[in-house]
Amino acid sequence: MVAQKLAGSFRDPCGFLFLRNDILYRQVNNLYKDNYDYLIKSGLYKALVDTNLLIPHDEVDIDYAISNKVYKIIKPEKIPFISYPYEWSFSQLKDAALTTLQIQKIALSFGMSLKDSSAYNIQFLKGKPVFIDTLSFEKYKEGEPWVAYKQFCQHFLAPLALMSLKDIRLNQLIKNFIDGIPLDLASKLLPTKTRFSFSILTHIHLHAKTQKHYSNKQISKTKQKISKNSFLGIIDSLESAIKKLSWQPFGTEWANYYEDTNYTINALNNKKKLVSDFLDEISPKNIWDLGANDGLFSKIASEKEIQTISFDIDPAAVEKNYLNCIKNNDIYILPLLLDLSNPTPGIGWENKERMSLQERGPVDAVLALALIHHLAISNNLPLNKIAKFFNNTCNSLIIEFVPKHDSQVQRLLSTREDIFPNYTKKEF
Amino acid sequence: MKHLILAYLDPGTGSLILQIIIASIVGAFFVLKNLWKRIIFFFKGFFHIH
Repeated sequence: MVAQKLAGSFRDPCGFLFLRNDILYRQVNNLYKDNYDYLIKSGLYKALVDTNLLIPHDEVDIDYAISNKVYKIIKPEKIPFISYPYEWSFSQLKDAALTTLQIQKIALSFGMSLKDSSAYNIQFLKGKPVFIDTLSFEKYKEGEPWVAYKQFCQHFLAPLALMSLKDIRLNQLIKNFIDGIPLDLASKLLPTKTRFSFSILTHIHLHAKTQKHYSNKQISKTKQKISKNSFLGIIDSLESAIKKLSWQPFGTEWANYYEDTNYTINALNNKKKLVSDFLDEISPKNIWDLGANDGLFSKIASEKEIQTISFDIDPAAVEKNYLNCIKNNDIYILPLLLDLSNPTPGIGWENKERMSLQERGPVDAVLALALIHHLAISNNLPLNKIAKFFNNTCNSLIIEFVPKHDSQVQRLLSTREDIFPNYTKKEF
Repeated sequence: MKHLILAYLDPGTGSLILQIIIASIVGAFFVLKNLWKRIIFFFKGFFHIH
């Protein structure tokens, strides 16, 4: 089969990702030779892989190369499902930020530094954030400021500060700005009180002002030097700033969903058993639990060691799910934020740099429990359109029909006219 | 020249300048913080042994 370059891998001249026979490889170009050799020989690669911070890879036959600039071809461990920062909960983005800074500190102790700090360089593997761009390391040159400082503030600090201090939904801005939230915008949106926090004042407000002031000015970059202690001080200051940011997932519409349904304990247990039996029958390799809330039914799949993406529209539910997974050391569930009525689109150059939800499918099986009334009634979707979506998305479907007399459906209909004569068990 | 090619990311002039401006403050704070940690570590060890 012909090798195919990945659409999102074109910015870095040091190499790129490509698929051959559905296997992912990364070409390391000659341009990156010195840094690649240093990464391996210095022990940094081993130190990061041993602590599960960097994706491990094998060096493979150079004949796999698809350009003559090749130095090495590496085959990284496969990430089962690629997710993006605008699909992460608050703590997922926070953990990704802290992982990036931890990697930077370890890299500096080995004489290297991250030349970029894109949030897209982090993926979740076995429940934990892992750095996937092996070519992001360059030899540290004493005196040089951090080249990826601006990117770190735009990709991590600004969205986390906005989510924590203004509104949790502002993480959706990341979808509009592919290289992170512009700092002048973050500065305008953040509350005035944040000007009294040294870290937010410097890394966002003053940063935005300095960017504006120097936007049309040229400086001699060779004269701009900072000591290694100052460099480490900046990393330490960013780490403190991120650690101080918090968000409590309480009080939203769905956060206490399971305490407010008309399921008795027995009925809920029966539903769990039914789902478990269905899963045993179809034995799927992977599952998307759509409308998963805090992952109650995803856990059934996880207990069977099935890779499960646990989607929900509510940031509080996704946050609770993620924190539970961390607490229980669940390596099979990946909780993600998704509005199924407006699923993640393809974004970036030619809408291909970051994949849409559909591009990341189809999946072996979908769980759609207590979901259909939200699609059919809240979102006016005809049942045949819902069926078409599921048909394109999965090979097997476990779906629950919630009848009109259910109190949850009655709640949805309480403030509107019932224009859904076809929403019946028979039509379903 | 090679280094310029590798730096494919625009670090932003303002972002470089800001790092120079805050360098001495955060650098000094970082050194003091580490010193404090060492003092605490020393005394913890001291009282633990004695």
